Amino acid sequence: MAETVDEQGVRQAPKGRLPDVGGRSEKSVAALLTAPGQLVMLFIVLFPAVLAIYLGFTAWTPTSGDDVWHAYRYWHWFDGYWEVLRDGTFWSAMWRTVLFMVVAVGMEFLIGFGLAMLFLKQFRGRGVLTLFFLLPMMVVPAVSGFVFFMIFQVDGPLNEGLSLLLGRDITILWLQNPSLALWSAMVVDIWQWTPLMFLILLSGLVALPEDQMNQARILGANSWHQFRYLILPMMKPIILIALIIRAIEVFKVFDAVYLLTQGGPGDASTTISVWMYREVIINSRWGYACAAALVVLIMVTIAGAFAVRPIEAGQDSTLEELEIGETDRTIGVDPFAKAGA
Amino acid sequence: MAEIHLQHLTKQFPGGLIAVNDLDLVIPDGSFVALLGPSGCGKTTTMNMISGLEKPTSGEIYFDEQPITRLPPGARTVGFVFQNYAIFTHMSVTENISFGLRVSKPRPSESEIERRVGEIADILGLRGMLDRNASRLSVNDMQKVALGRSMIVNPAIFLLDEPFSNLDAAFRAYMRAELKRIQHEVGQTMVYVTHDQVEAMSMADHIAVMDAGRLQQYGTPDELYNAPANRFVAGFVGSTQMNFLPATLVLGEHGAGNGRSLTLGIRPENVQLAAPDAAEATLAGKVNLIEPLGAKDVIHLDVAGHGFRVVGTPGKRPRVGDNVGLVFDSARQLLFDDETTLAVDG
Amino acid sequence: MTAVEPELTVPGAEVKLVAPRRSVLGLLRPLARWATILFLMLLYGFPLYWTVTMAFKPPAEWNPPGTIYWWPENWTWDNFEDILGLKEQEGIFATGKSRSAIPYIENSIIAATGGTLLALVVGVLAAYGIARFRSGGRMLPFQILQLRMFPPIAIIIPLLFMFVYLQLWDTLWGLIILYGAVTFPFVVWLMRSFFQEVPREISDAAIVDGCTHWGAFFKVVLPQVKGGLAATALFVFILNWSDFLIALVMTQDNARTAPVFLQALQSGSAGQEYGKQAALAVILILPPAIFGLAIQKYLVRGLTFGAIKR
Repeated sequence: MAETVDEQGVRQAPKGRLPDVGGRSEKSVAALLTAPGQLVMLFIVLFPAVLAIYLGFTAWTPTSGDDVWHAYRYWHWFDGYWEVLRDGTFWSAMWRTVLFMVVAVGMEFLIGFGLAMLFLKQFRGRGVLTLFFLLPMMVVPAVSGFVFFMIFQVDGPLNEGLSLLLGRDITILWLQNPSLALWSAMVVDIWQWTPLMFLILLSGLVALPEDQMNQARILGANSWHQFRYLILPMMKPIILIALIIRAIEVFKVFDAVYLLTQGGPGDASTTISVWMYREVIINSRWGYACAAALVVLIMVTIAGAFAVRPIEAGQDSTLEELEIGETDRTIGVDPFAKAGA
Repeated sequence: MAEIHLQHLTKQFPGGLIAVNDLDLVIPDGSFVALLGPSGCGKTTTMNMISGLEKPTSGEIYFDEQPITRLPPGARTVGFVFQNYAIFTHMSVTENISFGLRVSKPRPSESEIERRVGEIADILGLRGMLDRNASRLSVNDMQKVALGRSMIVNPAIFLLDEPFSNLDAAFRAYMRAELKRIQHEVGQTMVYVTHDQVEAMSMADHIAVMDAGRLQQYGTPDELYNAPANRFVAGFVGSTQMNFLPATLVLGEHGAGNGRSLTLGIRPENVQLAAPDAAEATLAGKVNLIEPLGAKDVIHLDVAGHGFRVVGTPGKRPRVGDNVGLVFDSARQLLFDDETTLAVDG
Repeated sequence: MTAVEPELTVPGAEVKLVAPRRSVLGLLRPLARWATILFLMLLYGFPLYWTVTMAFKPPAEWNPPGTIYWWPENWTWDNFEDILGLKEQEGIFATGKSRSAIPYIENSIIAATGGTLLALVVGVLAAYGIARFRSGGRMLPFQILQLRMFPPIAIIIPLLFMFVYLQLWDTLWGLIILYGAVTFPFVVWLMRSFFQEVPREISDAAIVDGCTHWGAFFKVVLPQVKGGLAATALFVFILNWSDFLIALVMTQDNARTAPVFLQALQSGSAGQEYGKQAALAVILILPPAIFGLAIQKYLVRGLTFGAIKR
């Protein structure tokens, strides 16, 4: 190391270097560390954004005969945006996505929370069963689309199973009936992502302070009281985070729906991602799709600003807890320490 | 009334650990009893069984002759103050204190709840902070809220788990006095768990000393101090630990048990220092270390290879390395059988 | 303190010991609980059961009209041999190599691994900068998070031009770059939460002892988080492996990945390739299932962007 030792044997910072440690100023190190990341952001956000804004003002399509550099020939200012805002198929795809989000996330929450409550008490085989319930989450989403494609066939196991149960022949067209297709797609999402809800909520439940629950029991609280006055309020931040995370992901839903129904029949199960995919790949309306994508991005950005807050708070509060815990320990007071003996 | 009777109480955990082993104990109504013992001795498990948080493996618990072993915790009318107070941090102080009333059946009217909370707050000096968020309280105030929350349901029995271990020293002394006063006035049966023998001695009417899941001795603080039942109690009770020296029983030629190996126990405060060659000196030793504690000194000696402590007066302090004679107060020396560890008469 | 109110001096006079309700309900409760758990196990386990058994069924048992095989009557490895190209195709469906999923599985492995490495390199550095030096201010992590909220298709549309123009379309390099870029926010958020758990004093001490910032990072900080790094790597690999949309839009045949091939089998055969598809599905499920169970305790942290740490 390039440091010197003076007469008293005390190490000195080398001359000609600022006394800041580590050889570089912290600012430049920090900038260097984040530079590649910011380059990536530039690459997948800025360039596409500029391109999308540009194309959004045009009615260009690759089938028009001109290449993308001559898209300005189809310049039509905000016409594309007006069309998106007045496009019934866009809004109904949006509506379906929101419906999908509310129903799927709601069901995932209810089943996940219920299951987590069942798993709260220790019982034989709890560990193995927990792993079992995690499995759907690991399945590649496209695969789960295919899996349910088999299950939802007219003579597939679902109808056959129902026939056995009800004792008469059931032939429900789960995927071909326009009023059922979207709900069938929701089932896939619910199946696949209830485990995540379960896992998040279970991790919150097992961390609930045991003494407080015991105190409530001694004071005479029944199960409902404990749930209503202790579990629910204490779980609120975690529940919020779980709901938001899932809502964000469900909004983007594509893979399973595409493999299950490809958005059909007609556009009965077309969510916003499927709608955009169709506009670009099937209808080749590039300029229009770019305008629509920007509209969606703006909406998501606005919604996202609100959605990010609880996650931020969650990060900060776990951080705060850590810090508080540490200071408490140094002065010998730890109100959350487990009772000994 | 609310006398607690533990009968052959045993708790074995699934791992096989026997936390409480055949415990028999009668805690009289209105008394203030400490469960004393080192950590892991089963005292907290005993409390949990009295409160109903844990079910005993065998044995029975009676409150006033009524078996309550199968009652759920909420039906036992016990108050429990946890070591960490188990404050409901997402509620206000008022909501914490009134919790027991709000979940009771029939639920008292709001005005009644308010009145009772007010009473409790007055007793504990919490009036000014009823609307405060409980998570922002000092540890001292948490203790009070925890007490108030249990008091409001008028429990016949009060259980406290290490109630003072988290308090700072000044407030601890104050709360000890307060608790004793409250107990004296309301006359509830109070049982509390502690590993601190000073705390137990200074507060309790009776102390149950436990070790390794078994009851070692049950008696008043004086009995424990003066007549410990066995070597464990003798060593555990007393602010400076009792000295133990090996001894052999000599009863003349034909006495039964002649040559039985015993342990002699004598408290450091019952030994006087004397000149090394003094006629009345029982033993002699060499000073190793002196701990001046203000009002008294604790003098560490080496007596024939055994560590030995004597309480001395600061005015007559020997020097490290001095040889001194030890004069035992023979009325206060105790003998313990090495096989049974029990105290032996004579 | 004031004197104790008389109401409080209740030395146990009110002790009312209500006998517990040893009703049928008490006995039914554990029963109901197990019934619920078993019911949900059936519900959540069946799709996987169906897929795995389907992979071992001969064509006659796949989806015969009017009847159903709950269990493969004639177990066979044919579907796996078929999909892995181990067997020559016969009869009118014989299309030779094109039925084999091997090249697509290879593509999946290369693209997912490459993308994971790229995301790790870029993301770990950024995460360290954010956690240790708060570079980019408070907002940068949230901008990165917001990136995750956009439907990927909205980002991919304009990228499609760029890729065609840069001749990255339908290449593995293109996929690697995209996978790295798309999953790098997860690396940032996960690793940031791991770095925050390393006491700052550790790296400070190393620097005081004469390390450079880089030295302190590689020699002291990184070893502290290697468990977290491994978990992050597996987690990001699962994400990349699971991708369907990016590969669907960005590849044709050369760089097509296995999930897209699965879909192509489905649309190309009007659903008459169940067994082979199921075999491919099983192959696709295996890596994430194994990795996922291995990093089980970090899954929640990963999928909640580090907001929930347990």
